[in-house]
Amino acid sequence: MSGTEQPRLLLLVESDPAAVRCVHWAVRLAALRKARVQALFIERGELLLTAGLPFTREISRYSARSRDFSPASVAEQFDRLFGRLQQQLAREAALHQVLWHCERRRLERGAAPAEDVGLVDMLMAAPQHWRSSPPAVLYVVFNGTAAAERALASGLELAALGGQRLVLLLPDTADVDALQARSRAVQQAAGPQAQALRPQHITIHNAESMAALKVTAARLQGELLLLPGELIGLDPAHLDELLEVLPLPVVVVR
Amino acid sequence: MQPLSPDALYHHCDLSLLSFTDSSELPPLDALPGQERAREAIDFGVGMAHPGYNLFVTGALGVGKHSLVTRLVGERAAAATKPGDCCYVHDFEQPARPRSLSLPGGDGRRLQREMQTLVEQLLDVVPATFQGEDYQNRLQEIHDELQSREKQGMEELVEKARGQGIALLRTPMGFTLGPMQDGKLLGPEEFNKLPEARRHEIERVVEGLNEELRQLLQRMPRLQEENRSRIKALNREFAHVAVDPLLQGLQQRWQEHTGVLAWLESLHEHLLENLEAFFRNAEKDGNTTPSRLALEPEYREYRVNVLVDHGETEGAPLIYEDNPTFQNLIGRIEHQAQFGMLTTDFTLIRPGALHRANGGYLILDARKLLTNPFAWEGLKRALRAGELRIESLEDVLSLTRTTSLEPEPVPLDVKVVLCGERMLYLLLQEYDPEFSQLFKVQADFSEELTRAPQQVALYARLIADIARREQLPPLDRDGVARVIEHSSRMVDDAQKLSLNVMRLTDLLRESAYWARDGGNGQVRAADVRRALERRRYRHGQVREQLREQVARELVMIATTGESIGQANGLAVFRVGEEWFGRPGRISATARVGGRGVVDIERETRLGGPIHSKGVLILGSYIAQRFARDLPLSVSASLVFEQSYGMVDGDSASAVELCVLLSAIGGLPLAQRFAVTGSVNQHGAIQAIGGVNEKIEGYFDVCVDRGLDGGQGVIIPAANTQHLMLREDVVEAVREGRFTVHAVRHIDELLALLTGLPAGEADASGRFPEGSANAAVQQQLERWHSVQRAERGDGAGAAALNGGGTRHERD
Repeated sequence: MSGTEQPRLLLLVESDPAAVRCVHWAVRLAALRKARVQALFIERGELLLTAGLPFTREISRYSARSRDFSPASVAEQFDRLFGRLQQQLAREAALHQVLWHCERRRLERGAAPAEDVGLVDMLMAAPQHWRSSPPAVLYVVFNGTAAAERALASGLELAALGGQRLVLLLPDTADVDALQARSRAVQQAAGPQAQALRPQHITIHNAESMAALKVTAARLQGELLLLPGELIGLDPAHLDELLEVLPLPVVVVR
Repeated sequence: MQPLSPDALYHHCDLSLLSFTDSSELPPLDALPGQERAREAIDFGVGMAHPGYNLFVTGALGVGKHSLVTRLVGERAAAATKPGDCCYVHDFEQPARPRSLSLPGGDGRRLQREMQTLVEQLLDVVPATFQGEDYQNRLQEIHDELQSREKQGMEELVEKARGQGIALLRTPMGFTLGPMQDGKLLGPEEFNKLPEARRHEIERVVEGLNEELRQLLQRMPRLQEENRSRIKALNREFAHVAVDPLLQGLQQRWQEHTGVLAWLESLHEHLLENLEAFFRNAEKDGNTTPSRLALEPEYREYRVNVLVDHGETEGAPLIYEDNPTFQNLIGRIEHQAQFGMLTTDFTLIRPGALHRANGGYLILDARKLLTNPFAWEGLKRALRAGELRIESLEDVLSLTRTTSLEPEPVPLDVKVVLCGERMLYLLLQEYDPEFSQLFKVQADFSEELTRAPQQVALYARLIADIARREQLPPLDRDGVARVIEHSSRMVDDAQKLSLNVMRLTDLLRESAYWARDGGNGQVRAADVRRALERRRYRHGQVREQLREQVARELVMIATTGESIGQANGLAVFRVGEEWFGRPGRISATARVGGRGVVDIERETRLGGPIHSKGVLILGSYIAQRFARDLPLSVSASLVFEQSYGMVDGDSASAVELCVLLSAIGGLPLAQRFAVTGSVNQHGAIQAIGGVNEKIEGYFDVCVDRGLDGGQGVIIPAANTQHLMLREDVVEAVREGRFTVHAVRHIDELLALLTGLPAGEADASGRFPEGSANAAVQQQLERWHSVQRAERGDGAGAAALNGGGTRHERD
């Protein structure tokens, strides 16, 4: 947490219809952590650049059909998605009484919003892989750090509220038993509903490396992953990977 | 003519037939007396196993139909084999058509319990199987392979594009391809600076890659479909592991029941494809035990709906359905409101009386059955088809057509016993062609019993039985005799006894009330008498009002003097259970003319058909008696004075005839008499109904005016056997203050009313001078001559001049 100021949850939303669906979970998480939501709608600048070429076409991901692709059509899509994001945020935030702020940011490839990331307590990156249905399982990478404990506490509360199954991904280290004991202590300190949960423990190799995480995350397609901040250090250099590569929404807890 | 003696007015019970001190000494009856015919019919109908031999038990209300039928059928049912349970289960192939299962008595509940246990076991076993490492690893392999194939295709395309200087970009709705130079995307400006050949080359390459990308994306759904198939096969493989051991145990336990085995087989197939419910709920709520989870609506399709449980039944069922509505008979399908919609399933199927009685006997009240809409049609359909098909009324009437269930019909083997009035039986026989096919046996209960010595003794035992059953004090010998005498009065016949057990029971209860009120340990004749008097008083409001109208001369009734063309008739009224008689004035006028007898009641449409028939008989009688050889030259009218309602029946036709003859012949009639009786075309007086009430009604009026010894009632001689008059009437007759005459012919009646001899016609048809009939004859001849004179006929004028006493033939 950042001192006595109200914590902030930075929500990075890709310019993708599916990604907008994560707003519900971001707001719910912010409500649990008494944080405010700062949403960034990321417009990829290279799309506008490419759309300016006379011969470029867009191939639909769903129907595989080819259609016109121009700067105007791209801008129109961005406007529409940004409007939906704002509506969704307004509705959910009112419901959970959470403060929010939303901006659109045009970024070039690799130019992550480092200045935003540096100040937040939680980051939720919602790539294009959000499911239309709510996640059935919440995964928490639990490496025993303070941030991991906060991530686990958030995961427990979310699972208790939403009825999801909770799975703890434990690094395959010698002190895995100690990690398990620590996770149980975190659960005992949580609310009565969270205490009633029976999280599943899965040990994975190299859980603390980003490369291994990518492999693991690929197996958890479409669910929600909570990470301790130290794991990626909230390094802006990793954000592109989070947004581009990880096939599931990720919450980084600092 | 002599009036009837007091002994002829009331037929006392012969106390020598009652050889006991009080009724508690009498042995119970083996069977209801007088119902031997009905009893044999019931035995026969119940014993006949062939279809269509259902029973219709007829008889008046209160004759003990239900109790006798229940007893006789109950004896038969107790000795019969008990039928099986009737259950409904979900049909997994046709969910809208629940499957019926017939199981030995008590096995329905057993199957129900075992299915509950199966669901609990599945809730334990299924999550354990599918969350196990083995399944999870196999599943992951499939997912990895799909992802790898998808990813591989996309990565190959990305690499190929990159090799040709093209980048693949993700767009909000899909993908696009853009040219690169030195690792950077080219914008329009940079692109336009390229040489034309290079630009064409890039366009061509992008076009080709676009097509490849499109084909690649088209393949994705096929890969996913293939993936789903593999997961499905995997799920089925592990479902076998989870389900088979449990189902095999069930199948072994129910191997003798082919219906259950077939259902278990379809259940097995269903479970192999649909185990998600067991997986999902077990993990959703860690606090809920499998046994509690198994009760949730999600698992209701694995339940067994035991419609009829004969686990505790002894013998065949005997059901009496007091409210035979369509649904109470056939069964119904209930609905539940869910999110504003009405939904249903096989667990909401409810049995009807036919389900509960299947394999046994069903007793219904015919009137209730026929007055409940569609119940009769529903019962007939079930009996005709030999199966029980549950349908909602909306479906039967095609009023609405919502998604509902069509449960599999249940084979029906039931003996139906309908109890109802005789009229209903006759109407159904006449108007319902299916009735005689389905109800071949009539058990006809008698309403009365001959008052022979042997029957009187049996009747005393019946009275004793009722007193015991109703826990009433015993009746002493006089009390029993008084009840027997009133029983004759109940059927209006001194030679019969009423078999209306209900009314008899009421009398005994009320007599016992007054006995207790008087502090008596036994019910005595005085208590019975008091019960009858108090009942008459309680029900007598209207009777007393009408009586008062006569006393105040608002209704004009003469009880003294003489009058031409006027006499007292007698009518019977019914108010609720109370029957009573009241006199009414009947008057006639007559004059020369050719219209015959005009019935004013008929002309004003206040006369019923039987009354009109009686009046037409009068005209016929007068014509054949007094004008056989000449036209009837009379215009007469006949009316019930101060009668403002419908008049029907012919019991006043005798007095009407006398009034007419009086009006024609100018004969004064004695007003001290009231007359009842019908007459035929030859003048014979015929029996009528309600003779006791009629005599008592006139007696009460005379009492109000003061009995002078001359007043009396003239009744048909045939009705003397019905006389069971009130004690005060009999006493007045005994003391010579009132009379009752019985007549057989109109001449006797005419003589009594006119005080003249009626007169016998001689060989030429002439009545003796000075007789009542002669006066009528002469007047008619005079009127005939007047008519001839009016037509200018000389003979007619001569006859008039000569006094008109000579009959001349035309």
